[in-house]
Amino acid sequence: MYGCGKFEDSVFLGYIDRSLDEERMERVDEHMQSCEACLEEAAELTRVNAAMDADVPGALPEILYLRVFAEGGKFLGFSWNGPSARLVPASAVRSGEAERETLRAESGSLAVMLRPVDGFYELELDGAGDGAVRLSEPGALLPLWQGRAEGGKLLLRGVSPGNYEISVDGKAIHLSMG
Amino acid sequence: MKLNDEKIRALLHAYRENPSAWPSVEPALRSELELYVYRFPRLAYRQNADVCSDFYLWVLDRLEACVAHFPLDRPIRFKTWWNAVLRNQYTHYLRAKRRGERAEVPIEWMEEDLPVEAFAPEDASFENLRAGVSALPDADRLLLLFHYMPESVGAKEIMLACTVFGLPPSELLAIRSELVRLHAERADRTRALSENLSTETRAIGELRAAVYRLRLAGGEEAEARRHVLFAKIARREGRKAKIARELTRPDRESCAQVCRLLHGAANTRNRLEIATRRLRYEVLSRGARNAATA
Repeated sequence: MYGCGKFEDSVFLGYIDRSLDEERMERVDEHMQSCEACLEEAAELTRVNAAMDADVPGALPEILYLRVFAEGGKFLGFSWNGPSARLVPASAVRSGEAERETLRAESGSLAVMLRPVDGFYELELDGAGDGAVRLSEPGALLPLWQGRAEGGKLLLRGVSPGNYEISVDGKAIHLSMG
Repeated sequence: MKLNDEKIRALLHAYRENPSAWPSVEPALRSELELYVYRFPRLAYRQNADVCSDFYLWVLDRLEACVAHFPLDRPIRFKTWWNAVLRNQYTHYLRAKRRGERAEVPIEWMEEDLPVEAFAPEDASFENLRAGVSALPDADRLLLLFHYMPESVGAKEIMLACTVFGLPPSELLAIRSELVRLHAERADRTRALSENLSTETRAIGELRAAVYRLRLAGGEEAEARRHVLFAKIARREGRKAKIARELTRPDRESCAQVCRLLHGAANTRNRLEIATRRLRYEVLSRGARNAATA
């Protein structure tokens, strides 16, 4: 339902992409002049349409991407982008009981280990190189923790359940821990 | 960004005929939609790459449920429908990230796209600009909003514009859509010009300070050095004026759209110029008042 709900969805969306016949367009126009809820919705949807119509170049990120799923201290599996460097949704999660997964890249490999301890998680990275490591909540401006791995190894203790992103030298690791 | 309406419809048709065929339909559908989904938060809400990745995974986790209800029997473009779905998913995504809070879908960094300095080179601030815009007469305000900030034209402004310009909402929405699209395509260039303008303004300020120091120092050598600096200032002022002209010069395609509001290119140019002057006066006088208060 869009706006005040006077028009069915297909009519409302037809008005947005101007595919309605003249008579219907006029009828919706008439309603729009007096209904702020509908006009607000139409204004927002046309704005989104126009922004998405813009010819702005862009591509999917070419990064290594790993997603770790754990719930109630039980490790569920990994979702991994693999060598094609594409992001992978949870529906493609590889099932597994292993608590260790290794990402292989041209520049080397990064092993990720996850251990539940007393309601928290211990996260160990091996092969992180000497680059900066950053643990943050997705979309947050400031990281929760940042530092460097010594000799390529890093152990983070007491990580609460939640969603995190660890960036290790351009490799993005998403953690989803219930 | 483009979507292949025909191919997507065919895939959805195959899925509708036989829902158990989802595993074979999903990869093809995903490859049609994935870049579009990934870029949605960036293009529609100016979000950063972290949010784009996270939202991408959020949508692809729910892809089947998201596309299942597309009305194949209606003549709606898939893209229009998909934008509405993504907008709703984006709200759900934000709500899930900030559990318990009301999900707002703000457009980030809008002020970065605006050539603020072009309006008030000495004392520019987004707040002054916003206050200046709201102090203008309706026709001037609407004209400037449509031309420079089409994304901020909301339902209230469109309702008012119906009366001021005598056009129906559908026409105003279409004009605004074109302006939003052009604005998005030009955003990078506007940002770069705006940064160059700031660089020139800063450099001129530093040169003026150096001239002042040399004047205090006195002597023949200082005098000669001052003349060199004057020449540099003049060159930089020329460059700055050129950038400012480029920033404020109405782009032809945008102008053609704004002309649809007022009927007539000459009339639109005049009205736009008058409105810009009024706004400059408002912004500068506000800046002066703020400085006096401070």
